Amino acid sequence: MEATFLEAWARPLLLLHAAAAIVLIGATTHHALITIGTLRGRARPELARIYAATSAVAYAVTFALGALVYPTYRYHVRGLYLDRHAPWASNLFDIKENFASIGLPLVIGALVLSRVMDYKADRPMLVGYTVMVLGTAAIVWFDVIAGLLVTMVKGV
Amino acid sequence: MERRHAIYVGLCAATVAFAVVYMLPAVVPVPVLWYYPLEHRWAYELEPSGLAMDWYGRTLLSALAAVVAYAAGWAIARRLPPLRHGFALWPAWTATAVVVAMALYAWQLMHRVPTPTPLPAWYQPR
Repeated sequence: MEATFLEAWARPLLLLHAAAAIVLIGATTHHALITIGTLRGRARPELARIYAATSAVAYAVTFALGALVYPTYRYHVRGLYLDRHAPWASNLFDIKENFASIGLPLVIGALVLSRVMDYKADRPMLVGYTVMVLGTAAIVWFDVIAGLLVTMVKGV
Repeated sequence: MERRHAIYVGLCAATVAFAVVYMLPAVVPVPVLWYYPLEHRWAYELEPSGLAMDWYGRTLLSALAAVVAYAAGWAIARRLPPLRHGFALWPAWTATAVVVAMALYAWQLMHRVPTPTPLPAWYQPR
């Protein structure tokens, strides 16, 4: 059988990837709700900083674990199965991976801004911060649902 | 401009640069780093010669562009006086770049017809 990078570890790594994604979707959702509250005049900077940090760490861990499993997925799941029997799932996965990359600067930006921004005085900055936080949350929700759908068809 | 405002401009510029550079290989021929999962090797090229993945390369290229854009945006913003109107435009540019990049990939991939990898002799369907 042809071996890909970390193929023997693909299933434990995928499990950890899913566990990190659970933390990530919780953190980004909480962060989004706190940010909407800030827009409506109920700023909670301490909580925002905590969720921004949790989101960034969970995003980095989820992203890194996904990147490690990816070669095994690319050959054994997509190449040998999905492209042949479920091309919609193959395409959905690729949309998900591209969205995950595009979300990287958003999650880093939200982390940095949560630490440097003056939540009361920097109203114009708050708009950009909100774009980053809500953008990250939307990408994470899409990616988690897409990942579950693809794994339902075939996992590593 | 104050330090935190320059950081904000830098971060928005970095996000825009990341999204724009990430879109480039989808619309124009750009050489990127490709990983060949069965051969365990990397190659910097325009088109792959076998089963290969360009996601790592595209992400790396975009990250480098984002770092450069952050440094440039921060350095320029630090030398400028506060521009309240320009300041408010950054979120619009950021959101537009991100949404366009996402829409482009979603559109292209929704209509893709993938080519399956030939089945090897050992393959047993599960």
